[in-house]
Amino acid sequence: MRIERWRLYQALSLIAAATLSAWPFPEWFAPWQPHWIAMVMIFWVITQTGKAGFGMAWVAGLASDLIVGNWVGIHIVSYSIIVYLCARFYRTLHFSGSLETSLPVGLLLALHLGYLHLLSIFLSNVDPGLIFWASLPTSMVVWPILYFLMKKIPAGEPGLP
Amino acid sequence: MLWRKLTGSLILAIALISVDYRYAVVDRATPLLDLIIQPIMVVASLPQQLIDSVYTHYQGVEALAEENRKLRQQLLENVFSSRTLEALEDENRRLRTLAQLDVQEHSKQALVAVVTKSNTNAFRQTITINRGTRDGTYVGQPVLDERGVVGQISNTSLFQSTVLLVTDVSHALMVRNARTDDRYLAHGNGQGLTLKFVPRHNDLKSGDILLTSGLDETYPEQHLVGKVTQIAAQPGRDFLEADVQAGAQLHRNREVLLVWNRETPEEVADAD
Repeated sequence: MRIERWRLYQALSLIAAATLSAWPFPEWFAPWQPHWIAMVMIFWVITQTGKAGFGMAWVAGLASDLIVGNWVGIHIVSYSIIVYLCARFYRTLHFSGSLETSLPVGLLLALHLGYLHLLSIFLSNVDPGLIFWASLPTSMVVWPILYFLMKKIPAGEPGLP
Repeated sequence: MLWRKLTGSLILAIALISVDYRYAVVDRATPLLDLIIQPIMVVASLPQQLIDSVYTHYQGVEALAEENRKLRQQLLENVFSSRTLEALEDENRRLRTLAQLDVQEHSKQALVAVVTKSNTNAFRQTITINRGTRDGTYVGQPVLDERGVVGQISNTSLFQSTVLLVTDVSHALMVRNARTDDRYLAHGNGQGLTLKFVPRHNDLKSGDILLTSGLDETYPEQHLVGKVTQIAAQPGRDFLEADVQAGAQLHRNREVLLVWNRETPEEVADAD
């Protein structure tokens, strides 16, 4: 059995993103930590729609849940919705550049953060406050750079959803 | 087509959440998952270790000698105070025997652990340390730092353990007011601790120091838990609520102290 090259790229980039997420950054930086795993996932879904879908949402979600230490499945729900939206609006997202997609990516991540915020209020009775949203601006700033760099990966034909 | 996939994925994910919520599958599978996550964690902590070793290398002999001198001094002082403590403990034991009270034995077994990761999110407040069942850790083991109580081990595998911090929402412990000896239950609230159900006319003031009571069979007695910062009386409620600032440096610690508090022979044997 031959593993296709793009699968390897996807796996490696997700592992790199997971490593960055688990990185022991200084404490003050922790809330500002960009959503590496989610962004890598979004990148693959909008550039390689045919080759990345709900399977990736599950892998990325599992990795996020395990690293953060939540109940497993919490991230899978929002990542599935993100993947759905990316695939649904594939045409618009795929043909926009790195800077233009920064806003929609910000919206997708805002959805994710809002979902986590609500869960935290209803499940653990804790309001994490405004600082919980600090990762949103950093993610939106990092996104174009990430997009530009990951575009250099020779992953082949994008495929269709 | 996409819709169907989304619905399927969501149903499966929600099923997974409920299973994990109900049966804590992942907590039980932690030793296995550790093996997968461990390499990622190790790689992620490499730069910090590198910076540390480079820093130590270039710190220079003089600085090290200075540090050495200070540590020696500290050691001397510590030896002195530990002698004093031993003498006091002896005296205490004698007096208690005379008064025919139970003699309390304090466990002296402790082990330093390095904090490998600090996880703060809205759901859980934990740190990960580099000691596991290999070193004899057990679930419910108290973890302290040089100032006070950090938390207890909630999960342990061969090489590492997760410490649930006292500020976690699912954590509660019995504390004692150092000034009045009143006892309260202190819950974590994500940022600090909260004393709920304090009777209205209780003598609790902001600035009071809270210590472990030793009544929860988890934490050893007389360790600092925190300081009362604010007391709120809500009209219509029969009880006061007080905010407590944790005494330990929960997220700034590089090293913490594991204490063996249980005295069953089996666990002591395990620890050896």
